[in-house]
Amino acid sequence: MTWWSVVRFLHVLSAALWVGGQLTVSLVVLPLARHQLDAERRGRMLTAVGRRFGMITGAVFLPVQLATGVAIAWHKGVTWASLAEPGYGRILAAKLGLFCAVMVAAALHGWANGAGHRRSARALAVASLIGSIGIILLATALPAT
Amino acid sequence: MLAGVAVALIAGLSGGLALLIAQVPAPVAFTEQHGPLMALGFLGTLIALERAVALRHRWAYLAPALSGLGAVALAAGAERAGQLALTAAGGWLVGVYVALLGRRLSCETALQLAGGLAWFAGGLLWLAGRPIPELIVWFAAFHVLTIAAERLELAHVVFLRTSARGGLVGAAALLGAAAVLSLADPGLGARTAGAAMVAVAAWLAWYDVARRTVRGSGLPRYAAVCLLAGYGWLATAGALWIVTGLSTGGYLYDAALHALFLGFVMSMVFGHAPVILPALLRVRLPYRPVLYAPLALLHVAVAARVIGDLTAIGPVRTLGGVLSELALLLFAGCAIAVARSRAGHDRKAPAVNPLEVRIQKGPQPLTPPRPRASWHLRANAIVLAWLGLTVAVALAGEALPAPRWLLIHVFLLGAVSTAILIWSEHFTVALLRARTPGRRGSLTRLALLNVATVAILYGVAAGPWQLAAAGATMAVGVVLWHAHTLISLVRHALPGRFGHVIGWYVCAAGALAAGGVLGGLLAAQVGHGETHERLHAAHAQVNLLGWIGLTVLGTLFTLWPTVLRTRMSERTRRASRAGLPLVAAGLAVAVAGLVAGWRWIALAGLVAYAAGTLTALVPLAEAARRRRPHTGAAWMLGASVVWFEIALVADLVIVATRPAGEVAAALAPLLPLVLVGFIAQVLLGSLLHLLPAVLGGGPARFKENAALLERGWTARLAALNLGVPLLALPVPTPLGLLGWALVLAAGAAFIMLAVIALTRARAAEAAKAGVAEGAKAGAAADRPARDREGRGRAWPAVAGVAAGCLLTAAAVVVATTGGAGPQTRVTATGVQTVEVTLSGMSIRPSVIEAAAGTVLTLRVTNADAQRHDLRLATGERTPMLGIGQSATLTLRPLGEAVDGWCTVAGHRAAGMTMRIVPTGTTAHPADPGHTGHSATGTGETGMTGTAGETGTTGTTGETGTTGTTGATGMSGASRPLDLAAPMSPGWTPYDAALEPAPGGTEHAVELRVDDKVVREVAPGVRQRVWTYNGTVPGPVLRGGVGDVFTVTFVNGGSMDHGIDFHAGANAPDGVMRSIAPGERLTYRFRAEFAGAWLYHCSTMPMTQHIANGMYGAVIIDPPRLPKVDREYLLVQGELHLGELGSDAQVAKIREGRPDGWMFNGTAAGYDHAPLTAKAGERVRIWAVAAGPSSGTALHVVGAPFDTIYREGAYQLRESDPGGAQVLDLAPAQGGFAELVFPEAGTYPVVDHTMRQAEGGAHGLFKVGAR
Repeated sequence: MTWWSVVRFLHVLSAALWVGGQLTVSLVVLPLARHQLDAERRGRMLTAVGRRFGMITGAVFLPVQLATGVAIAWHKGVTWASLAEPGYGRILAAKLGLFCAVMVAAALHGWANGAGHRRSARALAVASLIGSIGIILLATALPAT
Repeated sequence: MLAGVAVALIAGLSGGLALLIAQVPAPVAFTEQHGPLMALGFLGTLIALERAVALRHRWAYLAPALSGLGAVALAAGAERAGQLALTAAGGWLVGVYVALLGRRLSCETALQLAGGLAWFAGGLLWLAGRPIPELIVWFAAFHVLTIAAERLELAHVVFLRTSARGGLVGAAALLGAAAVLSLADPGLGARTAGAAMVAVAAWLAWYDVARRTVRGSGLPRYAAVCLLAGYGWLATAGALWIVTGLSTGGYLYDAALHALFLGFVMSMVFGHAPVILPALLRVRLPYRPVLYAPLALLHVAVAARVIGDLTAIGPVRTLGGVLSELALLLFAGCAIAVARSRAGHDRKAPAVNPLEVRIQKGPQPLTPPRPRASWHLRANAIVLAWLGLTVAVALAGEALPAPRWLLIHVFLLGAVSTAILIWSEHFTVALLRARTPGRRGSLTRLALLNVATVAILYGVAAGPWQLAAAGATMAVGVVLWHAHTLISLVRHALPGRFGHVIGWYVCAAGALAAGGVLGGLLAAQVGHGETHERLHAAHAQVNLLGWIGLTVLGTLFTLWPTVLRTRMSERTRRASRAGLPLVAAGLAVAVAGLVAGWRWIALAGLVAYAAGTLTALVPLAEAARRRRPHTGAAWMLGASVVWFEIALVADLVIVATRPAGEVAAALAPLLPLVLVGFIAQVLLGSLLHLLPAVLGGGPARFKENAALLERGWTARLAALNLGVPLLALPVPTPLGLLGWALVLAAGAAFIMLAVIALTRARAAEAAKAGVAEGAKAGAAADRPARDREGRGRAWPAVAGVAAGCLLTAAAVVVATTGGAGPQTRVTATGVQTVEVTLSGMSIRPSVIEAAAGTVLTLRVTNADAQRHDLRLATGERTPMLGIGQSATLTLRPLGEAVDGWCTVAGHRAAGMTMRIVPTGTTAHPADPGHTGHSATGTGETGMTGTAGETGTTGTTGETGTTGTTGATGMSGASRPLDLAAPMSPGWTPYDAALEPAPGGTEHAVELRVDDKVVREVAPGVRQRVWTYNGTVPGPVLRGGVGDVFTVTFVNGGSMDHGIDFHAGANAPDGVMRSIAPGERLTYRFRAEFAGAWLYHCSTMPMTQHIANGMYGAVIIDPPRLPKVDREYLLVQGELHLGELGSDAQVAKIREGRPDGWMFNGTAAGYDHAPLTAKAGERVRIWAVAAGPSSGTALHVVGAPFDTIYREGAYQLRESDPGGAQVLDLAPAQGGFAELVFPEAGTYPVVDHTMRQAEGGAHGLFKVGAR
């Protein structure tokens, strides 16, 4: 148990919070809202949920994730060149790429929601969710050594 | 009481799990008492509790209390106390029933009394020392009678005539009689009980109210489903009992038992729980549809379990077992969740579940059945998914097993067959103007076909072939069902103009049935060499020409004129009627000819088929003459037919010019032509035509969509059809790639346009829906609009899922493609400097070739994200290199091959190896005896100790021992084993108890090499071993004289391996050959001689392969082998510690200096997990000496042997006056010894070669009192 395990713990915890939050919203909150609320209340509620989640993403998730992620990479001795190497570097690079794509999708989702493009917003939300599950897949594929 | 129930449930479940999965740790009591814990401890307590509640007397609660206590005692290991308490509970329950009977004399209580008596009697017999298998009939009688009576009572099966009631009483009496009979003859008793169970099941199924309530809804329906399914299992169990008599032992016994106790009893528990639980726990358990989930899981699980048991496929039965435990837990979870959730709902809608309200108050009118087309649209999503998977498989390429096969079958079997199943039924309905057949049937067929497809794909690519064969059977069944549906549609339809088309669909289905059977045979590897090739050819022909060709032709009769926008030719019907018999008969003859190997018959059949297709094409050609094709769809369809004809002609030529055995290979190049030119093009052409119509939206939209889809069709058509010949012809690689590019570009362009059209259509629809919603207020109009909105809402989700999956897939592809790095070879000449890079757990180049005498300089750079070094076998080494650091090594002039590796713990095993070889020699070792297998590039570590993260540099001695100095501290043989040390927690001994031979004379086994397992080979010492199926010794094969063993031998290891069964008689050249990693072979032998036989790896150097763990035993029972109380098997082998294949270890093996000796893979293992027996019991100890170099002198301290059977003959029989002290076996010999332990105590079993006994060939028998 070193400080590095604390850093890793924060990294994993924050990822769990974000992906788990998305899953909870998609699988629990949205269907229930759809069934139990009328259109107007639903809209208000969903907007509120989206706003709050966006705030958590921006205020907690992103800073923690970036800081701990960079720290871990530094600890592991990852260099720009090593990102191209097959194995750890390549998987990490793919994971980072996917992370960026997911962030873009999430950001676009927020924009589309605000601009009233409900369908695109929904598609983007789902894409970002699936993508973040993909990130976890890649994270588990990173060799532990 | 409830605690007892819970303890029994948990102990019983974990025991069951441990029985199935060796790695699951569980106390011995859990596994040994799995049956009583579940049957009496859990279910018995529940039943007793329920009865006590019914009697409402305090004293009655003593019965469940007793049995709960008994369960706890049993689980805690107090066997005797547990038996006593459980039996007493049975007795007390009898008392409860008598009291109930006194209150009201009724048939059902009498039956239950009989059930209670069965429990009590069974318990008494148990106390008397009868083995549990002989008591099963009693316990089964208890359950079956109690439950049947409960049905009588709970369901109030009233209005029964006395005669009907008599039927049940008669069946019950038969069951009781069977139980009594089992005292004298267990087999006969079990068979009689089976018959009685079938009778009870039939009676219940016939008279139970469930048969009526299953048509209802809500809780009654759920309960009825549970009950009826349970009766099905009761009948199945009865049939199994009749057939097996419960005596054949092994898996059949398991199947018979679990069909009853899991399938029947648990299903009943599920069904009754919502009724009984409220009474028991005063917790209301309202019905929710979610309760179906555990029920479905349970039945799937039991089916898997029973099938797995019957076919003796280990993974399937394990899966079944695990799933059924999951089902029980899931049910418990659902029950708790449902009971909890009630509170919240009560406030809003007391007493009634809102869901039910909706179902009941919302009859048909409010939810209009969705239009047929929409259902088909959605079903086509499956086709799209398969298409996506096809692309994924194509991209994954060589990463998958059998990539080519997989690609073809994912496309044809997944996408195309699903599409045909959907659309041929749809067209039939449309053409006949028939009533649509039940949607449930269509969906079931679709689901079954997809399940079958997955099974086939998995079974062939990775799993056991049985799975693939089962999948093929299922697919054949589905397609026959499909054909039957089509036929019945024709029968019930009015005679029309298009009926003739259906004949083509039916024949196509017949073709797939034949093709599926052939495919199943291929998957089962029936026939080798030429036979296999012939089957293959027939399989391909009948599926492509029959299933796909006939469907396409049949569809074209109506589709083609529509596409051309002309009327149908007058001659169509006649041509169809004339063509179909020709085509069908021709195909049948061709297939028969190909299978049998009659080339000319096959050719004649194909000619007839071609003639038939030409006949059928005549009216199509006529239509084309009348109206020139002018649309993209028409051109594409036309082109695809042309490709079909070209393929057919090529096929004819191939069949004519080659013997049937070579047809399949010759057809392979044609495949792209058929797949892309014909099938894909038909698909695209039809979609091009149909999509605008399907999308709908009025004439204007139709035109718009059609125009959109047809955009640039000439270019697409040209690209596709230019690409096809490039794919099919033997052109240079760049041209072939160009072909792929053309084809894929054409396909992608269409898909893009189609997606745009779809999105536009959705948008338009949504807009319309919005208008409708706004215009018509009110509930009635709201529903359809919302419905449509719901469907529209699915599209963004689907798009999102697709986008997410694509992104992830792209990332995974980027992550996993490593380039061809690790395999790089560098050839060096003269004085050379070679750049060596350490990165990504590999060393590049991995092979350096240089002329002998070259002075090599290696410039080693660590480009990885962690520290590495490079050490060469000749002694040169770099310092530990930090990230980005480099070092230079100058080698001596190159003599023989030199290995190199990274010395950081675990890195060599992970593949950080390299090799420098003199030019001309291969990368593989020329002298395996010297270098061992360290040259195969896989690297083997010895100890996997908990080495620190860094700084574990290899210790080097004169012998070149390079171990990672692990925490276990084993370095060579320098330190003696500490056999008295405790075994690590979590260690489970190899089960020495020998199962009786499974029934039947044919045994199929899969042996899979796993040479990366790490096992505890001596107390506290873990070492990598090479194994069959992950254990040392490998699995035991047991059978009788004359039995046939079919062994599928799979090399799942990292180097070449083989197998040699001493029990068989086969030429070694074929079956005992070494096979490379990933390969498999089928080793079939008939065990002509009795004995205990060795099997072992047949790959050189065998000393190492055997010493490292690749051996096992085949037990062939001598005829009339007497039954004994216990049978154990000890396979003795040597233990050579150290890095496998290292010089030091090899030297020890070659010089015969083992570090220890092991019974069943662990030195002194049975000192720590003693074998058990009881005084006075006859115990048979089978033994096989695996060596490789030392035999055994097996001796049991304190108990002489009275029977010795050694190498196929009795040396000493029980009736002889003499005795024996040792069973002596030279390496590879086997036999058995029998003894009777005189009294309770601890008896060592040793190899009386004392140094071997003290080196670990030592175990204990814990003999309990009788």
